[in-house]
Amino acid sequence: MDLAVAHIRIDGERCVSCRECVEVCPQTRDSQYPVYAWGEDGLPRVANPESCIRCLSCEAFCRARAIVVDSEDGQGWRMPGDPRAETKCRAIF
Amino acid sequence: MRVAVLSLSSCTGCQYVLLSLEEYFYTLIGENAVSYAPFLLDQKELPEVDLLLLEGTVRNGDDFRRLREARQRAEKLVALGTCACFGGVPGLADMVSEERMLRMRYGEGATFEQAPPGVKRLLPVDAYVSVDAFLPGCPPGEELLKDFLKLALSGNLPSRMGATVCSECKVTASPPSRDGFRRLLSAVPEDGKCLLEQGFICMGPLTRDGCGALCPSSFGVPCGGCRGPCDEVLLPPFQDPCLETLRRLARATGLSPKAVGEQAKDPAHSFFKYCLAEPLLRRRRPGGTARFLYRLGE
Amino acid sequence: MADMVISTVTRISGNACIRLIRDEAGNPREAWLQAFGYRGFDIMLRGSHADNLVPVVSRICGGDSVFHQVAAARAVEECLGMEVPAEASRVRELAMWGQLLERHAVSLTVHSLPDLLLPSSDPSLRNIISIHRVDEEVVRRFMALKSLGTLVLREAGGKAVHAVNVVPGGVVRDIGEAKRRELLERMSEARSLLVETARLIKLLLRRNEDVVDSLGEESAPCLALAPGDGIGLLGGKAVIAAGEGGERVSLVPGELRASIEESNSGHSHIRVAQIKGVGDVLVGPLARVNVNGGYGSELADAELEELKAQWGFPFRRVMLGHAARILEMIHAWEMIKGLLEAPPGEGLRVTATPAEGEGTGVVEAPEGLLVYGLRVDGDGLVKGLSITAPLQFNIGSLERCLLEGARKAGAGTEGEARVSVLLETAARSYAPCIPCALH
Ligand code: SF4
Ligand code: SF4
Ligand code: SF4
Ligand code: SF4
Ligand code: SF4
Repeated sequence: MDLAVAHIRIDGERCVSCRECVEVCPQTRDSQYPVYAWGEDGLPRVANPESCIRCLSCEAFCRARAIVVDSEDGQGWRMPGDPRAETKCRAIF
Repeated sequence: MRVAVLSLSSCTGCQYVLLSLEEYFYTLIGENAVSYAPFLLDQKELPEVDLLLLEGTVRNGDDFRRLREARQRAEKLVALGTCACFGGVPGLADMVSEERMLRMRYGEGATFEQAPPGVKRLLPVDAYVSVDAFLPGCPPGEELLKDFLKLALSGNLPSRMGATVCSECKVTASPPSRDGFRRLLSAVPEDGKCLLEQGFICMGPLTRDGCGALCPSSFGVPCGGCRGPCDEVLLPPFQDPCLETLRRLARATGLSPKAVGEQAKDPAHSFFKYCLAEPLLRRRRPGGTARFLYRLGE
Repeated sequence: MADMVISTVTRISGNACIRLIRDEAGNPREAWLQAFGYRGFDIMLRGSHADNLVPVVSRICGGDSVFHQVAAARAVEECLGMEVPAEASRVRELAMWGQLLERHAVSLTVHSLPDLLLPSSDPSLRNIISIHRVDEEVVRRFMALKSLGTLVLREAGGKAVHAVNVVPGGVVRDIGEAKRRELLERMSEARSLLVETARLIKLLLRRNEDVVDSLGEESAPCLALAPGDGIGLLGGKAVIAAGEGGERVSLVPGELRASIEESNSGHSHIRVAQIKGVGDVLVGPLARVNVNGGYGSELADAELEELKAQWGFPFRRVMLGHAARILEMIHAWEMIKGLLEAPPGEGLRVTATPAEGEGTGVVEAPEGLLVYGLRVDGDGLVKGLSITAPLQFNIGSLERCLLEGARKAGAGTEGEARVSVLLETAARSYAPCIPCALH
């Protein structure tokens, strides 16, 4: 199930309903317009994407790699790591 | 293609999977020239080959010589299994120095005249020579190996966008059961519920996917991490398997990470079972494996 | 004269070389099986929680993984006084018989069959890949036995290599009813294949009688578990039997571990294990049948009678190990069928609170006794661990056999190639497991 809204893409197949995204998002806790809402079916929903500050906490904390937050220019966020690590990761099956 | 299978210091488990490919095994030996595989053939010298599947780790000079030879004679070198990719379980030996290990095993003053010199530090094979592709897994599942070989033998070394074991896991993770930190020896987990949320150490969030989350989904036992660390551990944000798991356990149990850490008394065996030897995880602030390894030169 | 070195010995599990030391005239003086690169599992596991023990020891050897797991689990259970439910033992035994079937099938067909089938052809043709090129059917039929073992192991263990089903206190999952029936069906198809293979191996051994004779006899006492009603992999006392009518010594697991004496061999990292007051012992399929006198299952015992009539009993010629292996495969097949047919019981695992304790785990691995000794502290952490693998017992016998073979083949007078072929054949008749011995 693809739950993409605006720039936040959630893969419902991968999600294991741990609620961590909802808990770590600074714009969801105690926020008037929370980014995330918890769905009836036990999956997170993007309720107010415009509140998102693209801090990437949800993406980093998601244990199932179910969330991708697109960057504004669509280039992706990945910071460069150690070159050896990058070469290695690219070659792993 | 000319194919070779070489095993350094290993458990030979990855080769057993090669034999378990059923129908595909015959395709493999029928369509390709398997020219070197000590497990199967009498060929003693490694000839020039197109694809070499390498299993195991370097433990002494003899292994290193064979690894170097393999690199020179193979067009493409594939690290097969978590041992070759990340050091695997045998990498846990790095907690004790080589001299001390020798002393503890063979007694004071034991000498082996013909023994090749042992390595000071266990490392995955890509720390010694360049490796063209990695297929981690202890051992990699039959389907995974088959998919890999199909692509590799057609000339393309595959790689895949890694996710985590959790992304394949069929359990549900909420709500946490708040039973405190538990171990399998003394507690029976509830079926169909996330083991981490029940207070068991599950390495799923930090382990590469590809096994179909076999242990937690089909057997209800925690993932030990045999497919090796996922991209997020090796690359930014550099999650530390130990700290990250403790944090999640703390969240699930309602304890503090420190309190959970004090109860998990064997961090090296629990959190770095398959990757203690991986140099990329060694010096991290905070975290890292350096604190578990013996110090060189001591 | 310079040493003759076979490096590396091919078609065995793991890496090892054979070194033949000769005197001036070229007569063999000593023969060694050398393997280096111990991995220190017993040492690196100190301080580990009992939970991590089973998955880690499994990685000692892929081909014997379940045996290491069960031996370690039994040691933990004895430390903490856990009573394993009968149903759990049954699933474990299924996994073990499955792996034994697989392991023997690999030793026999992939490793040794080419020697028996093509004794005088070029070494480069002696392997299943070349045989496959000529006769696809033969290889497929043999590999079918291996697949059968793998199938049982995968269902009972969860994974074909490094099973995940075994935990201290029992197992996690049972085999479902549907799977049971499916497995039984597959089992019944294999009967004729097993009988045929047994016939073939017996025929080949007769045809290669000169090789069988030139590898000599082993007179060391045999050591194996004796559960009482034939050959079993778990339970019973360990019995040391010296020849026909010789005295028998029975040891409970704790006594067995206490009487094992390990020493360094100087030329290899494989530690030599002996029994105090007895010296070298032989373990493995041959020892098991010699100690127990029979298999305890119909089909295997019928085949055994034929073999006894031909070669005499107890079996002393080392190469009859191959015959013992195929008979054990038949026995495994019958055991698996029996275990699958029995009505499922209750309870799969028990739990325990960590406490200080000491325990021993003894199982029969495919190539002989595997002995674990374990001490845990009040937190359930490993304080001490000792592992004795089958090859450590057999290494003395194996090296004697190598020397005997070299003498008979007349090293120095004839071509080295011939000697080296014979020595490798000799080593393979023990199906030595190097990774286990270099644990
Ligand atoms: S990127 Fe930050 S603000 Fe946006 S949804 Fe994720 S956690 Fe919330
Ligand atoms: S953090 Fe990931 S797995 Fe957890 S609920 Fe959110 S999307 Fe699902
Ligand atoms: S990766 Fe695992 S199965 Fe493969 S050789 Fe290493 S320990 Fe054995
Ligand atoms: S059981 Fe383990 S693998 Fe499955 S969702 Fe929970 S943490 Fe992830
Ligand atoms: S769940 Fe974890 S331990 Fe189990 S097979 Fe998958 S990666 Fe390995």
